[in-house]
Amino acid sequence: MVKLPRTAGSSSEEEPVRQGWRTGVAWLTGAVLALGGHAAAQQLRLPPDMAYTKAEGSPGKVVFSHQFHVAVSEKCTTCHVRLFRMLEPTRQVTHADMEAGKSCGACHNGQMAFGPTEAAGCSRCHVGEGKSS
Amino acid sequence: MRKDEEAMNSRRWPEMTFWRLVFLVLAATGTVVAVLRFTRGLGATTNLSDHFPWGLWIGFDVLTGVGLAAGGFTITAVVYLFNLKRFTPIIRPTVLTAFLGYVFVILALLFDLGQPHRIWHALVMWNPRSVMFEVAWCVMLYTTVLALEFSPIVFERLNLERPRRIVRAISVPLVIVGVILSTLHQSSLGSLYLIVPHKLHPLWYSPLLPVFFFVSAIAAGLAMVIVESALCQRAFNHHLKMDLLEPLGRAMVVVLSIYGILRVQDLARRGALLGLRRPGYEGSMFLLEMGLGVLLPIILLAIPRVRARQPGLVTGAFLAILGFVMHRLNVSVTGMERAAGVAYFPSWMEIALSLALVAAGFAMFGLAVRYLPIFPEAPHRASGVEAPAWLLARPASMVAGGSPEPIGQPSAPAGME
Amino acid sequence: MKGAILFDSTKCIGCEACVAACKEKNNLPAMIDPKLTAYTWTVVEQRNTAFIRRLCMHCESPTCASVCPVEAFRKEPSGPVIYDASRCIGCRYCIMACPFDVPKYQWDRAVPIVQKCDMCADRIKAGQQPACAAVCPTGATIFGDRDEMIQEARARLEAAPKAYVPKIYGLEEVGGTSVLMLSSIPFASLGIRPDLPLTPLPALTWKALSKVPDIVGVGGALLYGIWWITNRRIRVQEALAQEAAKKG
Repeated sequence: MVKLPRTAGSSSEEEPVRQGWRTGVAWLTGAVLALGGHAAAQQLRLPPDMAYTKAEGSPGKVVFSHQFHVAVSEKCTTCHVRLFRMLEPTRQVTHADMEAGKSCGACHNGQMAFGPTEAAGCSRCHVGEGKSS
Repeated sequence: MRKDEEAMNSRRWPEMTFWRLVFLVLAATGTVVAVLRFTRGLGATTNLSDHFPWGLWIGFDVLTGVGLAAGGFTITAVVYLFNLKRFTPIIRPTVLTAFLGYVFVILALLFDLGQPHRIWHALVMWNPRSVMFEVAWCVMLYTTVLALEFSPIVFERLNLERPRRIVRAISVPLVIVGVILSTLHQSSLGSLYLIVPHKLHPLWYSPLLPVFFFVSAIAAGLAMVIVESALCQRAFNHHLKMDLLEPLGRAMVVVLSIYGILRVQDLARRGALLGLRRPGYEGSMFLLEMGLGVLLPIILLAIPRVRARQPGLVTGAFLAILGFVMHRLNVSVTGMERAAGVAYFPSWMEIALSLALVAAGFAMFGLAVRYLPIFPEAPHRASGVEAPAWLLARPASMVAGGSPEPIGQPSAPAGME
Repeated sequence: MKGAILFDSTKCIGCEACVAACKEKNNLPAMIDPKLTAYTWTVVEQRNTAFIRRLCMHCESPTCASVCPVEAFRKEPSGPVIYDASRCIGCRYCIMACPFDVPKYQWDRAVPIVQKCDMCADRIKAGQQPACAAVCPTGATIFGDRDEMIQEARARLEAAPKAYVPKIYGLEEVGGTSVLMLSSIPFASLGIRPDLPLTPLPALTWKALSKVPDIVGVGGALLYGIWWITNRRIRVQEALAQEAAKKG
């Protein structure tokens, strides 16, 4: 079973709770279907959750989870290398980048997935020191 | 005053003929294509691709061009090694054709190579295991030999007696080297395809590819001498030396028969003939090549009455050349298409450039005939322009009665008009 | 160590991590072509439910290295077949000859070069793995000493014979390659040529080239002999004619 991170599907706010619940089911189904029978039998050697460099004014470290995001697409090439490097990751992103559609912002634009300025709150991404890379 | 000048100029300026117009159009188009080729790259100007990296420029310009220039080594061998001196009159135009042919091939290569400015790399970066390395070296060396074999004609024109004599002195070794180099690279152009048994269609692939390429080149060279003589006759009002060309036609029968038997025997042995019962695309092309280009010329030229007449001889030779061109294109294009998974046809730019190079070759031939003693016994009077006086006045060494001497110097043979 | 890649199609999930890593490592344009091109050096193709990687096979006796007139290709002792773009003249014989149709050309460039996978030769030299092997999340692509990869492949075939076609592709094809493949379905259905000879292709042209010294030697002697004999005959005839003229 795919382990859902704290940032989706659990929050004290109402809208995000509903959205999170639905999204959670979608991810779950997607994960099972997308990875197919192979994944069910295989252990996927994914990069561990990684912390992004904390910039000035950031409310907390952003932690990215591959485990979670591979459910979005069967192919690594959806994000790599078009949006993110693999071998020498930069581990840096700014809101300005995202709003320009680069990096996380290619999907996290409020339409395909939640955007960086949504009222949902910063802690969906900026999980802080709880998780380390 | 101006009108007089104009009248004078118009008399000296050659008139525009149909072929001259054709040449100008081809030259202009070719120039445009050349610019495009070097500014936009091969993808923009050719129909070549990763599936089909070698097309018209290799299949026709290089493979066919080198073969059609083979008359150079065959006729020089006939005259200087087999000592059949009566063929001396055809040496000069044949060497000219061969030299222009190889220049044409090298020019075409400069367009086909991805980085032609690096063509000299083969001189210093060696890979003796590569057939292409051997071809590159042999072509470079043989073009030098041809230039040397051609040089006495130029020295004669420039009245440089000493250099002419020096080249004369080495003519026999030069011809021997020329024949060896030709044998090597004519066959090696076939050897290029030995490495793709899984790609080249069995109707053309064979371990004997180098032998096929070599033997067919001999026949093509002889055929070119005949056809080129016929063209010179039309262009320059020469008399066709049937007494010299007819034996070449007879030799062609022998060579083409050997070639035909070798091909058929090899195919039969490998079981490749079975597919011809219901020929598909490749089978039809094969039958066309062998029927029209090998069998028919053999039949025509074997009949003495056909061979002894100019139309018959020239038709037979022309068919052989057609067959030769078809063979080279079948090996390089037809035979490779199925494995490549694409059907290749050259782009208009590829065709235009090849035609422009051929036209340039013809033009150079015409210029050479006009300004060099290629046919000093029959100066041409083409297009209303008289041959210049210095060409008509022969140097003492060329006066009739001198013994047949090495390269490029025609004797005054009996039977020549 | 002579490095080799082992690709196990049964473990491949078609995620294309290898494709992405290769793009990044070699600074290639991000666009992924469906087949190999000068700008995409490895692809993952899907046949029904199976996936197959296409990349340079890094042959033990590489055809490309044999045919290149200026020796632009070289088989490194560490395994990869690498390309030196500074030597290339663009004759494209490598593209024409490669039995796996691997080398590709920059047709769009005015000054083009050939491009293909180089098994991350510089990474291997630095003791790292090729990028594709480093990122593969399932272990479908692994890298190691060629003999060890062969052993591993054999072990897998033995351990689960029903899961695989009993063949290590690349073990012997064209004399062996440094990219070995395992599959659960026949390799032909994966689009891999089943009809390649087991002997290296360069041997075919070497057979012809090795005769060159003979042709030069024997040919030279023969042609000189012909000239000598025919020339002598003419000179004898001329001498006889002169004598006859003197007498007459």
